[in-house]
Amino acid sequence: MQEAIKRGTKKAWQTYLTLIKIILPVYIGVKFLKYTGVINYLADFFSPAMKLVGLPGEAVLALLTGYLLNIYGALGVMASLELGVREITILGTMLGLAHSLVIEAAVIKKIKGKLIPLISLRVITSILAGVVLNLIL
Amino acid sequence: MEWSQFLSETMWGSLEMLKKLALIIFPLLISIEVADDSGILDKFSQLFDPILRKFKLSSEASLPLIVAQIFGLTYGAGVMLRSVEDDKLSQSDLKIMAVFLVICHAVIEDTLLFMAIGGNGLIMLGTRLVLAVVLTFVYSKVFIAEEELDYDKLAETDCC
Repeated sequence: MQEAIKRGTKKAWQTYLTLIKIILPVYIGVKFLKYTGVINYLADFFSPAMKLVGLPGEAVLALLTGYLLNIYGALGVMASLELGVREITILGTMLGLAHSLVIEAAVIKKIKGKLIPLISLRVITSILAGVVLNLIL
Repeated sequence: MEWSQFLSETMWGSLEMLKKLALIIFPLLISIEVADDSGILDKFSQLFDPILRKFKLSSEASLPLIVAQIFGLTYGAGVMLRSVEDDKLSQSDLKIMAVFLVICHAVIEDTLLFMAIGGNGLIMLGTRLVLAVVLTFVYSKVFIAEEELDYDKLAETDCC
């Protein structure tokens, strides 16, 4: 039991260091993008496409925040937009399938996954799920 | 650009994140070692053997998959990395698990959060699980060649 705790602590520390080295620089980089307004500019640009997934134009902010930053950020945007059950369910499904793409790309790379195919798979699955839910809900 | 606000938000945010990570990683990995010692995990993991086999995964894949559902992709990946270093997971395991995990992780937390602001949990969770299972199954059939499989590792699941 004591041996196991010691071994676990050592493994946890090594894992923790590995994760910090990935997550900290990415976190700071994304914050910087947010402060320079680049993320807002992107939101304006993609706005017309939102009709395909049955969401109002301003919901692109939640989608992009979720894709680029994380689900927590997306939740804040969604709560302030006062969306209906249908819109939240579509957005929640889309964001569940694809979110935190920048940070999680670092994790994918760490486990030696292929970045472009895996990220494309997530985003395509996410958008198709949105289109299909828009049709059936 | 508000540099002082940027710096303070980034600094406090980072510290908060490091604290959250530590609060999950340390108890989690220590619990895993203790559970591993007691043999509980092996028994629990064995329950998934027949299912994992259908996805061309070795039985060692179940623990990282379970951790990723409960604690998220980062933590699941942490456990995966340890398993790779311990030589318990093959390269084809990693490829197949990556497809499942990028689509389906931390489903409990994510679903609860979106339900909290008014979403339909059944639709959100159901869609995600079904898509992950279908896409992983297709990937394992289409993209993983037989010769890529590590039969020594798969053989361990053949025992009973």
